[in-house]
Amino acid sequence: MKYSVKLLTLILISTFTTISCSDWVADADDPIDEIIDETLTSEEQIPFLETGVLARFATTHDNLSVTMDGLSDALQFDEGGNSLATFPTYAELDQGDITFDNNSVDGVYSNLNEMRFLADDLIRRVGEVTFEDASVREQALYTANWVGGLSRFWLGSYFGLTPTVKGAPIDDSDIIPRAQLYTQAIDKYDEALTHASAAQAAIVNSLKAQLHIATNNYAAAATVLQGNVLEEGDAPLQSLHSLESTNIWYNSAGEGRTQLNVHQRFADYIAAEPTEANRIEISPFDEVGSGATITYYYANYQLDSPIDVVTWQQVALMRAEILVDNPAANVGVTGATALGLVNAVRASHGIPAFAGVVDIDVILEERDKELFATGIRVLDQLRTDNFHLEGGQLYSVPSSAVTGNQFLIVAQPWEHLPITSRERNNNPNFE
Amino acid sequence: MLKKLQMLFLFVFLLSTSIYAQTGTITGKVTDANTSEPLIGVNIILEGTTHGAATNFDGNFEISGVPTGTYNLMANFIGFKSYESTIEVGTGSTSINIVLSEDILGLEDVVVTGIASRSSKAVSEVAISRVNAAELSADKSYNSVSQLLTSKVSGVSVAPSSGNVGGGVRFVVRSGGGLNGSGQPVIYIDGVRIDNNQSGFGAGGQNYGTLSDINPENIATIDFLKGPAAAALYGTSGSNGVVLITTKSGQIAGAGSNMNVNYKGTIGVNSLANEYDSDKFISASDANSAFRDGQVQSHDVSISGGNEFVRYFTSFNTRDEEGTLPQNAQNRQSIQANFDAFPSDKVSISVNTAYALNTVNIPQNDNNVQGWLGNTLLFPNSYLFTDSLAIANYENESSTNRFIGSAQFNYRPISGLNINLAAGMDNSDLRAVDYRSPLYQYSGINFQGQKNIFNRQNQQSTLDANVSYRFEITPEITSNTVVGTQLFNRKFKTTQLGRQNFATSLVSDIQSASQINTTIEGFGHTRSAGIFAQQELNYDQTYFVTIGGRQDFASAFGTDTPNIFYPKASAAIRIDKLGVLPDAIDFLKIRAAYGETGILPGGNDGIRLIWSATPSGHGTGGVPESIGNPEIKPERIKELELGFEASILENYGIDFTYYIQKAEDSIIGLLNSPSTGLVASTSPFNIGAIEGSGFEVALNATPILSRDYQLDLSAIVSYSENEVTDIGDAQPIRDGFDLNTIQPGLPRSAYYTFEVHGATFDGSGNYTGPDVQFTEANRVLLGTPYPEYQGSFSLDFRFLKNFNIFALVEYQVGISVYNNTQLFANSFGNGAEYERLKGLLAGTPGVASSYYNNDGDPSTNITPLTPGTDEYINAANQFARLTPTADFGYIEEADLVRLREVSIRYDFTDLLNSADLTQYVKNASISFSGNNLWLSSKYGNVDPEVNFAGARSTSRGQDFLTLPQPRSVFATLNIGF
Repeated sequence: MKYSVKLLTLILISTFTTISCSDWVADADDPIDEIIDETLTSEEQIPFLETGVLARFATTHDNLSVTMDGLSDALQFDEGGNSLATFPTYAELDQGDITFDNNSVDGVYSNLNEMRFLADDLIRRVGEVTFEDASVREQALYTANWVGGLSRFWLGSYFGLTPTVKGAPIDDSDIIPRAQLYTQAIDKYDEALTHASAAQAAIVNSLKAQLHIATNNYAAAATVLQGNVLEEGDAPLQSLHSLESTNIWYNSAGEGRTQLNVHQRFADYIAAEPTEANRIEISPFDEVGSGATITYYYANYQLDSPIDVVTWQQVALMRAEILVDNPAANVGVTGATALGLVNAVRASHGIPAFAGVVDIDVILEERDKELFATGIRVLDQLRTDNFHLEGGQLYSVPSSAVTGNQFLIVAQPWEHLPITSRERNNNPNFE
Repeated sequence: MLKKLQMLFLFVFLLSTSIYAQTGTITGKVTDANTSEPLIGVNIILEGTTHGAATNFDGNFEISGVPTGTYNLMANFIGFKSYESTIEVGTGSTSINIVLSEDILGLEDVVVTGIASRSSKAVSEVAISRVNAAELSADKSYNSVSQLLTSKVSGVSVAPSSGNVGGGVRFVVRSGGGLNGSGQPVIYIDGVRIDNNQSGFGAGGQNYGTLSDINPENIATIDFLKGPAAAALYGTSGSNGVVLITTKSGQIAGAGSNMNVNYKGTIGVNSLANEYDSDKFISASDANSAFRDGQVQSHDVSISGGNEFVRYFTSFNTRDEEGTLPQNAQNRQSIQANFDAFPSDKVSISVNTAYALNTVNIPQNDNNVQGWLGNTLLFPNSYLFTDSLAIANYENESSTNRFIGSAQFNYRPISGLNINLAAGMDNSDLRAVDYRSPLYQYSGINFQGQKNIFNRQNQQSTLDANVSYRFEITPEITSNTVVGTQLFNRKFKTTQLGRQNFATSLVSDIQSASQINTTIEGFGHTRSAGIFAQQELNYDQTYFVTIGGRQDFASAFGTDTPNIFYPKASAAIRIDKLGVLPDAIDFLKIRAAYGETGILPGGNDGIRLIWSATPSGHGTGGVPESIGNPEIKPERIKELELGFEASILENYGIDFTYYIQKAEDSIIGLLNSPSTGLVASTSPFNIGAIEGSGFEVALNATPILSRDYQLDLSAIVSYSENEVTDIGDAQPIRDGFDLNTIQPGLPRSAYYTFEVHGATFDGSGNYTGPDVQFTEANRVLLGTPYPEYQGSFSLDFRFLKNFNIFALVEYQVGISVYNNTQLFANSFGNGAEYERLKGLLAGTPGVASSYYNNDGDPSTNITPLTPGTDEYINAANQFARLTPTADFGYIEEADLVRLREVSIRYDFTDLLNSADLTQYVKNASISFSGNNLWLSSKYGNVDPEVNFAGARSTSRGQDFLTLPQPRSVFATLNIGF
């Protein structure tokens, strides 16, 4: 009996202590800076999530544009030049010899996929919420769909399985070919149009035209351009950056730090026509550096500068390009000529009118200047068979006259960014 | 009624008179058995009473007012075997002379052997390591707890991640325990679990280490429980060991003295231990020129004393120390006040308090182009990124106000029953500033100055309550039962504000900068609790058995895992008590212990998906922050420990331990494929496992022991190995440089990278590039950042009675280091050997036609070799293996031998005595000491014991423009009044 009382007492004390400990640890204060997923299910939270989609769009765009211009002939990595470039991952980009573990590429690939996920997830959540204010719903669906479309366009344009095969998986799928991703992008853009205001529709249509131009599909582009697109004076679509979420160009290829410097031809453009500096703002390094070679950094982006995604000038150059291909084409502007459109763009920067014959080379050079530092350049190089890295050839880096730095281009340089190891190793459907 | 009161007073009066009339006095002298010298400060107590005294300068003591009767008199003195004798006290004076023998092997030191457990090494069932800090710091100068521990504990490596004064420190205990957590032991000071994080603004890869707040001068002892076998009752978080720091306490002042006053003053210099070599770096002289001799000053005043009822220890210390680079400095002021009270035979109360004001400045270095080394070791020409004046004016300062306090209450209501309550707190406020003046240009910051301010308020409290009951089951069998609970609560709040573009350089207040670039507020709250029980049995002081367990609770457990149980069991046998050993072996104990502990998941690991608000140019929006797993539970680490201790001829000892550790349910972050969009974090799963084993040997010898000479020798050897056995379906986990790898079949954090087989050549014999394939199949194991064998030798020699020499040599074998400094220097033309090879290959397509000479100028002076010749092929192969596109050529063996500590001391006490000055100055000594005086290593750069990413990163053993450990020399004066 005495033993039983002792045992019972022990059990009671143990039970009481156990419950007390359990309750005590469970009573820890909630964090103030974190949100449990299940609480993001009300109309009130939708604008917050929509802004999150745009936030990720912005951090994707600056990374993607500097990375793609690094792969293109617009920027170059020169460890011997006086930009004092040091990042090996950027060197890989510039040489087209990109490993699957390149963390600069993995970072931008992850960002882009999260941008796509957030856009699609917002559409799902909107579908599960009852709205009192329909405009909140419409605005969210507009944003989610154009971002969803743009992310698919970027996945199809800028990533691939092999150095020459474009495409990317979505949500653990096998690789989706570029054309299919473009189709999905168009579907998303079209869905965005059903929720868009007139001004918003002009942006979405301009994005559609941009996609068609990327595949030289002038007919489809012309059809879109006949509709509501960005016209002279319209505000562009830009990714916005702030001092708390900075434009990475500044510290990757800009004034802050220049891992990738501007190709010499941009200095030549300005030398030939000084007013070109109005749209291509570059600065030479004034440090002594390790040699006499002068290289340049892009000076137009500060830490909080926006980056254009699509502008009325880009639309005008699309129209001009179509007209170069087919002067009789209907590009939505009665009586428009390629020369007139090119000069309208030039005039918007205070650059004297072009007086010669506008052919595809002129268009590409105008695009080279106009779309510089937006990531588009490599698409123009590829769609015109003008990619600058030729396998097996010797490449002299800009400072080679002083340093002798050269490298052999690999047999098959990457024309886009590789799907990284993280996807290849963790996607069960990836082959 | 009045009559009754009168009778009562009379009774009390008679009783008191009677008691007064029946007291006596005990007097005596305590001397050293070997030297016959008097021993000062020996504690003499009558067991079971509050009567006691301490010996004075002559070794004499007096205990007065002792009721007549028979007592058990005990004499205890650190470093000596305890003395015990029955004494009859009558009225008048009773005299006794006591001779104490030195406890050479420390078998009688009472050490902590677990939560609520203390015993001597002679009967402990687990491996024990004790560092007698007070003894070590008597004649040497240590700037931190970590420096005090370095190379002193077998199986434990304590290494700073850089040579920064006040920087972070990493402990590696045994084979490393589990895969999760920071890998760091929990640290208690006087029963309070303290903050051992790194904080402040990272300067390059280094942070201020909060352990640098602790003043080592106030520490009496440090006990180390090295793994779950000993630390099971500490529960979750005890898996990487438990460090138990005990601060100094007051001693009963000797007859004729009320207190002891001691002053210790140190001056010293920190300097560059090993200069950069121009055969490795063309710009070596520029790097060497950046260093300075940093001045060190430390002043410590302590007052202690007490009687049989109250004892106290107080101290004030100020230490001002400059590092070897400008802007590296530490200024620490600390106050310690400890009180012990013994109001009755049954109650004792201890209060320990410490306050520190610690300011640490850390310069930019490591993976950084605003730092000294990044501007002097990367390119042949220095300061291309950031001007030296700008670097010299960069400010990174962390200032901490910190209070650590505890109160302990012990009540013994009946014989054998012990009730312990202890509560303590560690509260600190940190203010860190990171400032770049608009007067200077910093690479990457092309605006008019920038300032960031970070505040961190950390509050953590510990509550321990336990009850133990010891009784004799039979005359031979003693039982001790312990039950208790332990609670730990931690809250921290952080704020950070950053602004840039100052209106003028004349002001630096943060509101003078026009643009906000950072605003961050953080908050965290974690709790853990445990209840434990332990049963100990002791048969005739010969056989010892213990079993126990702890039920643990924590706020970080997943919602589906409310609590977890950790068992333990241990046993020991005193073979020497069995009468089977030869006379030469005077002590032999074998022991075995088993225990389990765990490592907590991350704070958010148990929550499925967490979002946070992120600022952007489009406004502040919601993005995923972390992806969790509601089923997550702690990683569990199991340890079996076997060992023995032996003493031969009393002066020679050996302590051996073999252990096996197995971690299971290790939390592995599974990477989601990016195409899912779930990239905010990995997803935690209990799918990993790692195994480790090793042995530790400590040898001690005192071959010379006499009045004027004593030679103590010791050697520590430890071996450890580990292997990751499972990571589930996860891909190998690698650090940011794709090098340190967690992968089944490999040791933890192994260097596992792409092999360069040599050079490739075209048909004409021209070098065409390195023969390397960047595929998983081509990775090879190139070593680990942890040594296979490590240890130390120490010599402590007292000669001519008053001179003392101490030397400690540490060594590491089987360790490798990634020399990323050399890789980047080679990339940018600053590698002397790489440039020479480039010169030999000059003219080869793809190889530069010029290279840098030793003056840092482009050159063509080397005669190029002819393609196809043996010399050319040889040079090409060397060149290829050093290709900066692969890490292969830069994982270097880094076995080392380092003269870690040296000191010589002269004790003036005899001189003072002979000059009859001891009434003014009780003791005095002067010593000269040095730290890191000599290094021999296979490693190519100046210091292999650094890590560019600090002390907590997954990157390990990577030297990348990291500040090497300094060489320090000190002069120290000790005076006691």
